[in-house]
Amino acid sequence: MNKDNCVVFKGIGKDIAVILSDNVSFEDIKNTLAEKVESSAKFFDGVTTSIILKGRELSDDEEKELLDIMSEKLNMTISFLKTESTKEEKQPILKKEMKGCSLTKYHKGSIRSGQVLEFDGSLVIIGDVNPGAIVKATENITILGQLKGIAHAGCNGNKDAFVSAISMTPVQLRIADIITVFPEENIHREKPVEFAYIENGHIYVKPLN
Amino acid sequence: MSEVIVITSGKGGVGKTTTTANLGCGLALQGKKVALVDADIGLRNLDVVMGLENRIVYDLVDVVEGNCRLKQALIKDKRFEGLFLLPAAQTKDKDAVTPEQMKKLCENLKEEGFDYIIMDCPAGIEQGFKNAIAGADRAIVVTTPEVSAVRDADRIIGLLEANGLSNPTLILNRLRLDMVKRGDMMTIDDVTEILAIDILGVVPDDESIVVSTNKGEPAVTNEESKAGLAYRNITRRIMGEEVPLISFEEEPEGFVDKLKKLFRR
Repeated sequence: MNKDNCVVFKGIGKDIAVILSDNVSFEDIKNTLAEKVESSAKFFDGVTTSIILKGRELSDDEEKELLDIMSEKLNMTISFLKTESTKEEKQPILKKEMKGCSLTKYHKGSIRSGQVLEFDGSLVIIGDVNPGAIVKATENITILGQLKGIAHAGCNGNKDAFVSAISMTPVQLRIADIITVFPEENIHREKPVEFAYIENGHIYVKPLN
Repeated sequence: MSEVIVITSGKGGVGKTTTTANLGCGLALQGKKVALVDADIGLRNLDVVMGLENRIVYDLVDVVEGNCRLKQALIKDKRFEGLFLLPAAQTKDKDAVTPEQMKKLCENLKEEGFDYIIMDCPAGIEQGFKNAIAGADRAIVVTTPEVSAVRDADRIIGLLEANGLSNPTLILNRLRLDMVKRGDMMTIDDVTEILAIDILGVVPDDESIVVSTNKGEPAVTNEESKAGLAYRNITRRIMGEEVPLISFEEEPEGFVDKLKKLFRR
């Protein structure tokens, strides 16, 4: 396989998908990415975008290495990182130490535009969060329904907080002091239950399986 | 130099927000520095029409209450340099701000060096309306050619004049030429006769408006849209140019069109 093709950049809406080949070594991927990134540095100058890594199984360290290459060589703000693996992921998503227990409020019913649900602890919402609605918790937020509005987990600055929803298409997602705009690609698509958390200062969204 | 223009109507659903978005984009297209202010607290829409909903962190109420600086709340438009949006709060209601606070806000926006500050007024004549007109230098009344909308526009013009905003101008929105021709819709003359104010522009009913509103891309940028052309003309009139009203006469049929019609039968 032509080495040049093992890393392909593709624009999807306002996001950039980086498609990685599964047939070459990680070293090759890294080198090609660095080359490509360097040659197109001007193109990405000053841009704020979401990056979607696709096509290849990556360990967290590998992911971080690739991200470092991109943020190091480019004057680009990566606002959001989403990985999409081709194979079933065996490693547990909830590998982070979770707090054994936290005070939790259950809310039954949908949160509509203009409504704010705030809680000092964790929130479980049995219903949808509509566009224009805000749910805020100092710890985790779980939505047994569609998240289409704004969810703010760890709103007191707790970076270990997470947001999970059956359908995750928020207008904005906030965890602690990080705010992201959701990639457009995510909208209108059947997906598994997803789970958002902070790692290395970025918000990641991964399917929970 | 800086001017605060309030877009108001009295009746809901006549196109205030669409007009605000289009005039804002139109003025920015002409190289002006424009701030759009959504005064419809609790029922905000301007951010959705502008396609900027996902960028909101702070809003008008945060600015007024001093939770953030004005600059932090102004959202830069994604298409036009020099176009900014100050979104309304969705989780509060109209009583969250007072006319005095709005006046102060308008002064602060003027100090930021905006050429035009366009205020999207909520429907009704209550607190929200009073807030929106508080800092305005000039008013534009939007109406549709329907008796109820014209009646409300008349009421609004009276209230504007009572509040020192004399000489508001009129935008007649959603005019359908075919219906006017059949005598089923009020004509431009019918409306101006009742309201007796200067007409700033007439916007034809156009399906592309619905499409562009849903997509968050104002029609003024669409070269092919008739409504877009109408809005471009209105922008030029706001800037002081003399632009004749578009003639809504259908273009005369050419020979080819006649032939096509013949075959369709």
